[in-house]
Amino acid sequence: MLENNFTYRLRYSRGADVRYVSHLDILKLFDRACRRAELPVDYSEGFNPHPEFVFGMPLPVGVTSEAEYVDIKLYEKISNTDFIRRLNDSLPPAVRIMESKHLAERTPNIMKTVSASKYRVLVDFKCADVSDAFEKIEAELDLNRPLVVMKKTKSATKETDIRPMIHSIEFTDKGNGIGELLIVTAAGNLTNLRPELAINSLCEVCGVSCKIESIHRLELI
Amino acid sequence: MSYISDDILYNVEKPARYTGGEWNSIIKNKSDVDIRFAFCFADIYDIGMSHLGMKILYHLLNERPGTWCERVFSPWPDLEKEMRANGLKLFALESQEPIDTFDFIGFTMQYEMSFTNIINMIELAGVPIKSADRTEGMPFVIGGGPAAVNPEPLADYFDLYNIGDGEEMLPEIMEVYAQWKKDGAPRIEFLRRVSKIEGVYVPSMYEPKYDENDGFISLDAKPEFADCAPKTVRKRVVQDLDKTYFPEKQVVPYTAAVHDRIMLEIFRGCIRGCRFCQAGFIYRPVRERKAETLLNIADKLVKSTGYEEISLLSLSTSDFTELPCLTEGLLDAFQDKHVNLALPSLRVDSFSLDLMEKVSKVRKSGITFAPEAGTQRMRDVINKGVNEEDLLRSVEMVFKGGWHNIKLYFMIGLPTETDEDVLGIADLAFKVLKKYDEVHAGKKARRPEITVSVSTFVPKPFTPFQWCEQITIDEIRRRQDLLKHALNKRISFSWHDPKTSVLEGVLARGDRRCGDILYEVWKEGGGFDAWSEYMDYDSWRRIIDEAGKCCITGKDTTLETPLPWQHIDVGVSQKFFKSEYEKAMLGILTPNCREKCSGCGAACYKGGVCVGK
Repeated sequence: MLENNFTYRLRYSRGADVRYVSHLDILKLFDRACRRAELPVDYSEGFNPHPEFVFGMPLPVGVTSEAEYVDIKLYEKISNTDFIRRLNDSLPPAVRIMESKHLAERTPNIMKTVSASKYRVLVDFKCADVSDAFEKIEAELDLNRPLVVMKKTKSATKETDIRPMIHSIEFTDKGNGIGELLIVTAAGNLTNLRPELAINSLCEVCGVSCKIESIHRLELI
Repeated sequence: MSYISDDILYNVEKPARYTGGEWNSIIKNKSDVDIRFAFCFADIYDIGMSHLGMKILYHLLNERPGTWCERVFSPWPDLEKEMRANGLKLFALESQEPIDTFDFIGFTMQYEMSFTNIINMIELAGVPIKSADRTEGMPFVIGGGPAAVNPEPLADYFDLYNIGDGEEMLPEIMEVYAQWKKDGAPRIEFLRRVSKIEGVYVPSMYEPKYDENDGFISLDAKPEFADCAPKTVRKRVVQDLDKTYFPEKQVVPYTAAVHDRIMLEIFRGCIRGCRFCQAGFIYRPVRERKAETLLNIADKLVKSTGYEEISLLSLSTSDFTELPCLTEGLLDAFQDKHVNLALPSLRVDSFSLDLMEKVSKVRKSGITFAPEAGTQRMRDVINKGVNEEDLLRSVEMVFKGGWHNIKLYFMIGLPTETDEDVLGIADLAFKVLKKYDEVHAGKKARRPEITVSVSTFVPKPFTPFQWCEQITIDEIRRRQDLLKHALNKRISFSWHDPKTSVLEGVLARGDRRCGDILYEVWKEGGGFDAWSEYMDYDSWRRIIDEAGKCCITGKDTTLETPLPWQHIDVGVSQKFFKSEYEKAMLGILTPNCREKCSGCGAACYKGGVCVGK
């Protein structure tokens, strides 16, 4: 099988209709979509063969995205445009393949190359003038001091300084007390910070009330 | 846009149950349809999406361009609480719209313990729960499915019932409805028109009579409906299953379904005639699909769903006449596509073991036997045509084939059961264990896993045991304990909650007066009574005891006692049930439908096994 393996890296979006579908169920969704599309997917050997998929960063439940990645291994070569078209025809409208590229052998897995993730977050600041809230948060960021919160890790919940995991925030006033925040936080295998934890913790130390309306992942960096 | 806001969804368990949008789910343009049908399953998404009947009827109803059928499930209590707090109504998954303006609210009635959920769902929809309170412009509440063969316990809540197969009946009802709607006729006129369709029962057209001791006497059509309401409602049957509609698409859930695979219904009915089994009688006559037809459907379903597993569905897979041809065909067609085959309810013989070997790519999972009773006497009473010798021979084959995990299903509380019969279950389990030791004698073998699983017999309408008394909770517990003490720790033991079995017994044989009981239980917070953590037995017990007579209990019941379901005709005659009851008491076996016709009455449908090849 070795000489005719073709791995493709797909970038796809996840819309509102699938915002509550878990990472594990997305794997099942791709397996079934590939079977519907009759794509030549390569399967692992052994007693319980499974499709050769490698998924990138799990997307938190409730979040939409235009920067999801999966590597899929085929046993026959097909063109990128063909791959995108056939799979999109077999996926629910809420999941769209945006790009496909053929990977060279031994390309590292997507998780190894990612260090941060950019999100667009709509926040209701529960006040008439959001610029005041923006200023307070920016001032706190400029101080660059530790922001210690209880953070869940794989094994336990413990006190963690999340300030170094907040890379940048850009603010836009959308009117009616709604602010649009473009936030870049640490992402990947080593450290990972969910944007809502960053925003809620910042607002808390600044004494700003906030309610997160929606989160959308824009990019992996 | 989901009907429930993100603020709520984010805080409930498995929100993907409520947002719809699954592959193959059907979206239509509201302005293009004249009938909107809410197909409800009175349990959560996880259970309802595992049910084949709903999948068949969902796609069938949507075949008519003017009908938009959508799915509705019970919200789990966490969401229901939020919905009630926020004034939200029961909604359909596809359109994400409340269903109180729909034309039909349909329920498939699968088990008695879901009846309180049905009432709860009608109320949550914002529709009057009793049919008598529904007025012009409100939806019609329609029921069907196996638990509808005794429609009386919920008769006050349903406008109409479908008794039997829905594949022909439902489209006929939709045509009558579309015409009625066009005519702008009053509500009662629709009921009059559909009551003439075979299999349709309109409970409000009938009135029960009771004697001075509150015993049930009869249920007759009211004089004003004598022109349309039939004296007995005859079960509807699709005569040729092979030519009957089967969906070539099925909705593929994103998540949560308990049985999440292609379900291929290979035949309907059962040739066996076990005397305790309601399904074995109410689905007669046995009708098969051809292997060729099934292979064709399977191929289309794999392409349309992408599922990784196909399961064969029937009451007894091994009785399918073309099983070798079908399984060979399925393995040939799909093994390369990484689609597995699941084979439930197979009888063990050399063919099935060989087959299981072929399909089980993973480690050998357990094998299930259902001797149902521990002694030969008892098995003869229930017409379970299995003897101990056959069973032990099969068990030996299984152990020699390398399996070490066996599950044995039994029932306690069967009519005429004695302590000797209960202890016979333990004896049989020990013989199975001994067989394992014999097969592996002198060799190092792993510990066998033998499980004895015991449920409690519940007498059901349309079975030869419909006149029998059910044992009490204390007696169920005593017999369970008797058995528990007779087993040892090399055998695991599992049993059913006695309370659920007893309530199921009341509702299964209930008359129309159960409607008030269900209402009271529901009002006291009843719902999800099929989930033991939500079932409040004390409340049920008190309300049932206060209600007085409401069902056939088997006490003082004779074969001549009027039955609350006698106005329903499932094809199998009451005369046959009586003779089967008498044979049971004498321990006389009745051959299966293929060996010899016993004249049960189902031949009136002129289909399936009754007409031969």
